[in-house]
Amino acid sequence: MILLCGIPSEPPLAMVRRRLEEGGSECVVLNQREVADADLEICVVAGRVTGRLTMRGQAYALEHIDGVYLRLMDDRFLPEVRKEAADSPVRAHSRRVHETLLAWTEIASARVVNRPSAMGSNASKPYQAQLIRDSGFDIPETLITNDPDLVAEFRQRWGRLIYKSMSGVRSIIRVLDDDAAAKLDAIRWCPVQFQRYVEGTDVRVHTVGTQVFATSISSDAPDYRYAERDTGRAANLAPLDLPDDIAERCTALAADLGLAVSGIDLRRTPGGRYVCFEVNPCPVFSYYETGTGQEISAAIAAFLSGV
Amino acid sequence: MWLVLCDDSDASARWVYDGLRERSVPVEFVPASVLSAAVRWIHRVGSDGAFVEVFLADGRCIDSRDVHGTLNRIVSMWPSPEYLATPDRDYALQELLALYLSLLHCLPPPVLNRPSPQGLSGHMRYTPDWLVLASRAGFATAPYVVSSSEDEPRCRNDEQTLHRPPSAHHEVVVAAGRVFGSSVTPQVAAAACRLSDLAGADLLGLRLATTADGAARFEAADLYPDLRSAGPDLLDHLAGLLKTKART
Repeated sequence: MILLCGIPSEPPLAMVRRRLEEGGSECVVLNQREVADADLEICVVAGRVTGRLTMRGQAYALEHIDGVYLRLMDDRFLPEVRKEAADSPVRAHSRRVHETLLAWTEIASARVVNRPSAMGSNASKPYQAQLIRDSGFDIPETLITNDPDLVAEFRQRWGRLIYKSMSGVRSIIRVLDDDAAAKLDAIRWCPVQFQRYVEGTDVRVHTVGTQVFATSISSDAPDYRYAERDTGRAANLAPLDLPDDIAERCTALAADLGLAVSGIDLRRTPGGRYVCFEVNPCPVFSYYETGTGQEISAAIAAFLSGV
Repeated sequence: MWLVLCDDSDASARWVYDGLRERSVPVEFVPASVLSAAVRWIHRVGSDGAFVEVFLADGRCIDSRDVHGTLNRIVSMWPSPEYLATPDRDYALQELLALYLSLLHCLPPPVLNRPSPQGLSGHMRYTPDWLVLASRAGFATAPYVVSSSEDEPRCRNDEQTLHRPPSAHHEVVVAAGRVFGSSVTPQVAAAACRLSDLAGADLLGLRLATTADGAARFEAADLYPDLRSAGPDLLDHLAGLLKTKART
């Protein structure tokens, strides 16, 4: 049995569910919108983990669940929860269900995409960059500082710079143009991350176990996800065959981070070098699958099913 | 240079700092309030590696390239007062958390404990996770149930637990491969070190119970144990570790 957790209409979850059902796998959906009707119990006896998930009056033994796909949104912002008072029983129950789910997926013997602790590295991009570098990838030169003069020096040395958040919040990439540079005094209150701009073609690599799906992205925007908004032209996606060594490096990096499924952001420089920017532990692969026809959802479904 | 990083109220960390100074270890004490009030931050990450320079308001500079080891017990940080009452407060907190994780990660070893995305001073785990690891390390554990329908976890087999109450509780501290505190058997010490390895926590406090039949049962783990209970032996061990590292 495969457990899918999240919002059923969300594209990645819906696509994996459809693939699982086409393949004849038994699926159960823990719909976050119906968390009020769900309960979860974990039992640990002498290191053995068992338990029970109850939804809409039906109980499922946790030890019968072979695969788990986590696509959870922050439960504080669920429509059924966000207007509740801080001490409301509805909010407290939702939190307990999610906490218990996260605790179980850390130790479940099932195949989990992805375990919560493995998803943590993306919360600090410079931290993750150090792990990426350890795996053998080139990474962009990065300066984090609250000193405007140092940023000016960094810009003088490397030319075009971008700046972006260090955490996963407001993760939008901007070019440090002259207007932004004129406002650098504002960074004195909170250090900001600046990076050398790397010329080249964006490549998104989805790894599913040892399988690799690479997509080449053509766009004039500094952040292709916002290309249409920023340039008036949507990014163009196309499947790409990666060199074997780069593909292997991608699967090894995902494995090092403990990620069964990942979305790795690379840029291929005009000289043929691959620079790695970050690893997304919960990738919205549907955008790439829809744009290229690559069967990423089928690969995730197969992984969850143990095929 | 050695670093002791900790929260302001961490008396254990202060005790270690004083003890290391008495043992002639060059060590800097940097509580969280001092770190968060640093006047200048430089953190570089690139093809040549990563390092950090933090210029503190009291005139000290912490340069990771001059650090030979760290006792890391940082729990939390605060954004600049500029952000405390603004809509940007949560964003600034997340940014600082991301910065701290990265800069702590680039400190050279030994770092007790190394930071993790699940905690700046080590991987904070759910109780079921600790119980599974403790079993793998060789400890007995009490049956445990946690349910979203109840406020508090409970022992599943309450009757069994009530009929076999522990004869004694004791606490030990594992630090860089050695066990300090209560006297324990070599088997228990080995299990404690295995658990420290499995948890990736070089510094780990364990609460153990001795059952009526003499077995050691794991009760709880703590990434911020009271180090004073480990006594001067711990200070000697840390000082030796630091001096060894400084020579290498």
